[in-house]
Amino acid sequence: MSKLRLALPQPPPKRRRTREHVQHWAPTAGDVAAPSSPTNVDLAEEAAPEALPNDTLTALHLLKSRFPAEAAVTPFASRSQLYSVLADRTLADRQLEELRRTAAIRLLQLPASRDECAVVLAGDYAAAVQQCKAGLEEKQQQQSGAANSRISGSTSMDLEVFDWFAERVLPRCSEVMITHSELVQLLGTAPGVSRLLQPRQQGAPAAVTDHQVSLLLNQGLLTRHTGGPDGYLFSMPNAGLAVRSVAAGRQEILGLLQRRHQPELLEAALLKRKLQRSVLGVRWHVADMIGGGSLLRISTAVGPVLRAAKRGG
Amino acid sequence: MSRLSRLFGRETGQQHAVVRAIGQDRSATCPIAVQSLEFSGDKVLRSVHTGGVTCLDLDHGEQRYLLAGAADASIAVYDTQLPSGAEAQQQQAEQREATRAAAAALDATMAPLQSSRQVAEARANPGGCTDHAALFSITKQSPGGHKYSVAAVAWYPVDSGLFVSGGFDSEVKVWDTNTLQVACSFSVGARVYATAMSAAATAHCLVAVGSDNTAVQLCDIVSGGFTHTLSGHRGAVWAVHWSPSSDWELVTGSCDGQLRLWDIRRAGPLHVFDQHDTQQQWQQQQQAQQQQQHAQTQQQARQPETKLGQSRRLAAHAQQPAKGSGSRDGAAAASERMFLPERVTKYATAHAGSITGVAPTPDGLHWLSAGTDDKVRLWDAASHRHQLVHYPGAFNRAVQARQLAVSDDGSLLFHPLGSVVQVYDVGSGKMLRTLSGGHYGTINCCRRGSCVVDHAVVFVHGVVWNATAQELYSGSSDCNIVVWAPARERVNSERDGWQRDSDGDDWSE
Repeated sequence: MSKLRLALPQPPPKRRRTREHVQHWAPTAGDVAAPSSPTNVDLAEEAAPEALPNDTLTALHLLKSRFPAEAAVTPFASRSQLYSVLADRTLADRQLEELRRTAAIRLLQLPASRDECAVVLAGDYAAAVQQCKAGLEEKQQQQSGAANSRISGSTSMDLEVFDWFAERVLPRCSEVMITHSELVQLLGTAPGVSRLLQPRQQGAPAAVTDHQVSLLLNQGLLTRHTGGPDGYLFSMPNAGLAVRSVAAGRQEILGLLQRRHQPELLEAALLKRKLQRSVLGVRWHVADMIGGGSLLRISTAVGPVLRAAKRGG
Repeated sequence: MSRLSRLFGRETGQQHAVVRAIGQDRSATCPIAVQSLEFSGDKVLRSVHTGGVTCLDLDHGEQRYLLAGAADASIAVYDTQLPSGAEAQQQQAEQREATRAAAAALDATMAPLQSSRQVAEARANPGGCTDHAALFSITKQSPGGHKYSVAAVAWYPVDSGLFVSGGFDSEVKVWDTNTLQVACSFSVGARVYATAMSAAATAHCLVAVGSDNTAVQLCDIVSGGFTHTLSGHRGAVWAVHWSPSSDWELVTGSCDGQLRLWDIRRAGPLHVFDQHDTQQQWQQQQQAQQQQQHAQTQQQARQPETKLGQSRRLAAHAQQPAKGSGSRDGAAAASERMFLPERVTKYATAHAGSITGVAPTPDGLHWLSAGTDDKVRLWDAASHRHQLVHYPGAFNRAVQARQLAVSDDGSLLFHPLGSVVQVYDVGSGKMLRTLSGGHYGTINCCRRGSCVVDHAVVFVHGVVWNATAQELYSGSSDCNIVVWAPARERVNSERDGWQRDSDGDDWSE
């Protein structure tokens, strides 16, 4: 009797997850412990076990789970928050870059903040685009319901631009900015057709109108780039609120600390307070400032204490 | 045998094998003892400046003479190897006090001059250290001297017979070291912030001048005129550096955050560095291209080509050059966007703030740039891509250029921050040490009436690494130059170790 030797598929090798490299981030009840990164990570290895998400992606999901739901902005994280969760900053930068290139996340340069990028998950961004479209459709229906003979400003044809934006522009352009000519070209090209080999047809789809582009601008999905005449920056709806909150929240927390005799406060006490000028919540700001270096987290016998850091030697 | 012990072997002239081995030393086998770099108690540079030291340069030939320019329009050269005699020191100290007193008489709010901590320690411990006074100094009153602050100095790269200085009086002067006369002078028309000469060049003697003008001007010492004007920046140019590997390439960084690579033989920039254009993207594209080509050749080899196949192949080839140029310009492989060159020149920035310093690694493979957006960035010199190495804590709010220094084996970066110098590992971005305690602020007192004691903040403006002696020199706005050297105990133990090792005969090595 011949023995059948079944060749069972080998399970993918498990990576050893050690806790040494995780910075002391006290896990609270609702937290998932952030996995640490092994010291010598070869990015090629990352691609092979696809079931295992990137360290950075896991950290982003973790930060998203902490984002206050009542804020009227898309859940976003700042780079410094990532640095406060992940120990190796160079690795975090590189993994973030890879995620951006594979369109798993979007990097948005928030207006009026120097070099600060908001990191938004691709799914969340697409949901925001759909939300904009749905909002406009509702408004349109209300307007057409009120005065049915009048043609409202934006027709349903125009609202297609949001779908085009989500299908044609977002997957193909992973940069933070886009020029006007590129935008128009991409919006007009159906996905899957190579632009270079596209034969010129008589029945080609209508070119994107300026009105449609201005719809995108009005909803906040694009903003004008200050560096040149015809550039746009990708942005999210209600970005103004986000930027104001980020700046004001930082100022408020630093102010709270500096008014005291020693510029330090128990973290537990700080987390109980509510910020008046920011919708993002204390926890968001604390993570952001620790990663950015303006707050230091010192563990003491009574718990972690946050101290305002002095810079400049 | 460690590096230091081999240096001693070379100093005493023993064992030619030792001399060769130093050149081949890589940091993997003998890392520079960065942990032992400290405020040197053995070597003291007695500064003659009464204004903040703004720029430093070490001569390329012997790595011996340190050239320093200061905000009081003085330029001085210090010998870092041979100590000076006692009378010279005395004389210079008196001279310095005299100029200081004269200046203070005109402006009574000037703070009293404080000698560096090293000088104070030297006075306390006269036997243990060597004093290095200035060999000569050029002041405002010397014939041909600058009228306002000297912002940039550079040695002539071939020998120490000439040096170049640029100042806020819009003049770039070329000095003869032996006669201390101005050999030629260029009037640039705007405040000069940076001057650089190429160490690698054999075909030209051009001085690149970065100034308040947005155009970088190249001056020729041989002919005495301007040869090139490199325009394209949109702000004052604070940092200029020639490439260590090419005669004709230089990198300039300006206040608008653009870092441009120029080849002076052609018009326009060779490349504008973009912080979003990263190494990984380029590697992926290269791989994708190679795979595509490989698949194509395989396919062709397998089947005889039909007409359809031929047309497809031609179409693919037509697509490829566009993709090839796209990959060179950095388009993402996944997208089919045509990369427009004007997007790069219009929008690409290396830093979100001004660029305060540019330095290449000595092997010419990487460039480092520091900017006021608190970031230091590493760029690959071959592909001009951002390497995405994070240097944490590089806080920077400079209002003028700050020199960066890279150690001779390319593994350490010295970044001045406030009154300290941070030491980073170039490859991984880790902060290894902070060299502090060398520069202190002075105490400012208000004249007559209430005395307000206030600590002025001190900024380190320039750092220079000496490869032969494994020392770092830092010059700051407290008018002093501080020497950071490996610790004395370690030096002594290395010396003893070397002597022990060298007892064997030549055959045993």
